[in-house]
Amino acid sequence: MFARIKPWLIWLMLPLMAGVWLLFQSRGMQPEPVPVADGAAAPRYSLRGVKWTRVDATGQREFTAEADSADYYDDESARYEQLRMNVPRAGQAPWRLSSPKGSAPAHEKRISMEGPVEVVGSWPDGEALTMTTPQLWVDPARHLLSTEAGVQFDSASRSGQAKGLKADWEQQTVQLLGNVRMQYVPRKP
Amino acid sequence: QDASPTRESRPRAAERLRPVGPVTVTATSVDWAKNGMMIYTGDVKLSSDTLNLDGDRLELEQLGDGEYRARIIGKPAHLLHSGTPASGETPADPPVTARGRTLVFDSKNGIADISGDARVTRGEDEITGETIHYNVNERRIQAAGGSGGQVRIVIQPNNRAAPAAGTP
Repeated sequence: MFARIKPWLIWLMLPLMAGVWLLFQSRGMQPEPVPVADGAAAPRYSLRGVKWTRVDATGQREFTAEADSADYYDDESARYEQLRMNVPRAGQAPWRLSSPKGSAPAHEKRISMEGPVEVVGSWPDGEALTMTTPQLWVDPARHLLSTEAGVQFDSASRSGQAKGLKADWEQQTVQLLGNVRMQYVPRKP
Repeated sequence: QDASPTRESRPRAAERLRPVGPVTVTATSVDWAKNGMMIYTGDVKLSSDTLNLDGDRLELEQLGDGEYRARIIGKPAHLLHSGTPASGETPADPPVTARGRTLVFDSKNGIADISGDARVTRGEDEITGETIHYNVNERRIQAAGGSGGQVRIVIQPNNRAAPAAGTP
């Protein structure tokens, strides 16, 4: 009984397999194998070429961001590649941030940019400023850019370094924390 | 008749003595608010090529073109203006030190105002008073007693210089 059914079964399977093959080919959907570390959860959403805007409870824009890739996980954590963020500031140029990697810890709203992180913006007096740091927290809840990983800064009339930084983009304050060294460009003789 | 060396004109001397090097400030932390001053706190040191200031807190205002006004508070705050060696007809100038509870230095006019138990030394000369103005560019000192206070000045005789021939 079994011998007689088998050929019949093969004749049934052939068109079915052909159909599946065609389906994947024609729709051009190549399911990319998601690189998942051993034991790590697979991302719930895995997105390429992402752009997003974060707004607060009142609908006020907190930042806009882009990333070459963004993976979101069930515990609300996230990982980004080639992350770029724009943080608006009232009456001043926005902070423009970029880093090769970024991540968001589980169940938190802040984002960690991982270096080298470049920060382009301006001092409170408006002078254009570039900063670099190995790591930077972007905390929309507290409107705060912060790091304790060391920061170098450079601008036309002053440059230097510090161990830590806190910049409140709502209050428009800048704090340099720990071993601050600031060099001012000398007057022209 | 001792032939005193012809003195360099005052403007040229002032220009030569004016601190012009890059100004470096080090401190434990800096706070800066929009439309506010940059405030350094904790072991604050401001140094340029010939002038050094230190204290506990520094309020720094940049005046453009590399000029600045620095207000330093300390217990006390200090100033050190290094001396200059003799050059050509210009005699050597001894270092000047100052200390007081507050020091305000304006790089534009080159004046350092020292107040609060102020004391200035120039070489071995010493001046104390409530408020002392030190013209850094010209190395000239003015002192005021303040409300009812007095200025006290001790000038060490300049007896080390070899007496010129024929002078008593």
